[in-house]
Amino acid sequence: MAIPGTDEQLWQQLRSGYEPAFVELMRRYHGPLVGYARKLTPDNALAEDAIQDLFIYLWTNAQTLSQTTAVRPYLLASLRRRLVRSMHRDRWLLATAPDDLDTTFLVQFSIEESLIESETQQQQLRQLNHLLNRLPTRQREALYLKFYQNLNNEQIAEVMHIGYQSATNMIHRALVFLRQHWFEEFTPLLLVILFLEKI
Amino acid sequence: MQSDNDQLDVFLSDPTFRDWVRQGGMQQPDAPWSRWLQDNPAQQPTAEQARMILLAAHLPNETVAPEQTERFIEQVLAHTQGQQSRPLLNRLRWLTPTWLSVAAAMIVLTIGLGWLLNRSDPVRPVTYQALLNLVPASQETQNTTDKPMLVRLADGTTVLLQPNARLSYPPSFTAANREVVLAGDAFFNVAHNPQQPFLVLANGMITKVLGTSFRIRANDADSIVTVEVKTGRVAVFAQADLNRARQSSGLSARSMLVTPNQQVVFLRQNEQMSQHLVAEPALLKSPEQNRDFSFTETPISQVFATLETAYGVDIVYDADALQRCSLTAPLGNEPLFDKLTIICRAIGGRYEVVGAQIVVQSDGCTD
Repeated sequence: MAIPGTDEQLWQQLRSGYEPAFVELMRRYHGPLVGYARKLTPDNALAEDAIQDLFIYLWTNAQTLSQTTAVRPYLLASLRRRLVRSMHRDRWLLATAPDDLDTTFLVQFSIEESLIESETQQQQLRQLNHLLNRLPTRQREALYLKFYQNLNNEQIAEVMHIGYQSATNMIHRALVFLRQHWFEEFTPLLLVILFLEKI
Repeated sequence: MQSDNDQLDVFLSDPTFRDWVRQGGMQQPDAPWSRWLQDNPAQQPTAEQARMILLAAHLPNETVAPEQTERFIEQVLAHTQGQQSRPLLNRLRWLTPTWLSVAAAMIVLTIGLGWLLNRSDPVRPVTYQALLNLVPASQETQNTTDKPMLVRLADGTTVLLQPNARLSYPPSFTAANREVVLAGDAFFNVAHNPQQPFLVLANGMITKVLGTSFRIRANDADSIVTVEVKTGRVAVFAQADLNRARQSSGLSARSMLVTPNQQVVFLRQNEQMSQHLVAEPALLKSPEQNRDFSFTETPISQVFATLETAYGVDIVYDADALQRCSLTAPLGNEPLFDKLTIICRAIGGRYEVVGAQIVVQSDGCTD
């Protein structure tokens, strides 16, 4: 049932109005788009509506689409734009609305337990995980897009609607933060800090 | 230090490296990355840091079930394909003798229609009487005079009913939402209460507000319902989305936000809504720092932003194309569209009202 072809080929066929290509694109990207949408909003109905609207838009405007170099970042960028717009419009209706999208990126990283090699490593990973979840939401979103949507820095910039330089700076700031606070020698002093933080 | 950071990003950005880590890293002695790191021991510390970051940035695997995706695809296709019952009829006609196929076609047609009616788009327009069953409203006031009549509701909301208009409402608002039913032409001044949204049900259109003033025309004889906002904002839903309107804190795909200087026209027959700019948008809010709309070498984007806030309109333009355009002109208290004409002349462009948006086109400016 699945039709073969790269995403770019499917996109080309979609632009020509070939419906099976449109269906195949939905099959390939519904999951990843739902995954991303759930990080941006807790409202599942809003997320599903936005994804539906996106694909309906693609089909009804197929002829006007330009040939894109990569389908995934295009779809993610478009979805993000739609959700930001909806949530921005909705905020007047909410009693306590977030001021901007950045405060609602709902990612909480966890630890990949099955690959831990030692007790020491487990402690280190716990601390690293704690630091990761304290990163500003935009940096967490950038890391999510890198690790889980397989985007490069240029594509991350496209999706988050920021300049390429801003995107690379953001990621580098995150990495610098992690290195400064964690990759020093794992000393007893760090243990004390850990203990104090848990109080 | 800097290049260590870059190298860290290089590892983290490489999907093959990430896969290698997720599959066990150095526990796979024959993997290309394992061998490469053995040949390049200087890279091992940074690679180990990258590995640790990936392990500590784990997310649970949340794949979407294939059935869910299939259902999603069906819903999208239902929107994009429209009618689906005709091809079936054609096939039947060729397979059986004429009289049988006619009878079969009629049965399929009836079943098909019934299925369609129950399935999605309603065909019959909603009426005032039908709505009374949905809303816990027990009091009704009808304006039988020939002059507008003011009704005051329990929460302080006032409704100015035009002659013949009818309003149905509860004696006090105890539910999660404040809900009333309207037939006719009325102007609402809703008391502000963010904890209890106010819903007006009128001939198939639902208007939802927190506290604001607006006019609804829902005449039984009309095929449309309109809402015009004076102050604040309202959200408009179709009757079919009543549950969504009651529960959700936001808009849905088929709902609309209406702001002052905008008007929504709701078609009763198919619950389609369209948004329009009113003919003469009023000045809603004078710009604090620039009450005279006087601009001196102001970038066009700023000029548009000022107008958007002052008139509550949405101006669409190509920011890149117009980035070198600026305006020097005192626009004063000219009506909005006259202001736009002046601006367009200055930038060699033109504007067009498309629905509720103003679209400005120009080839840009030279330095």
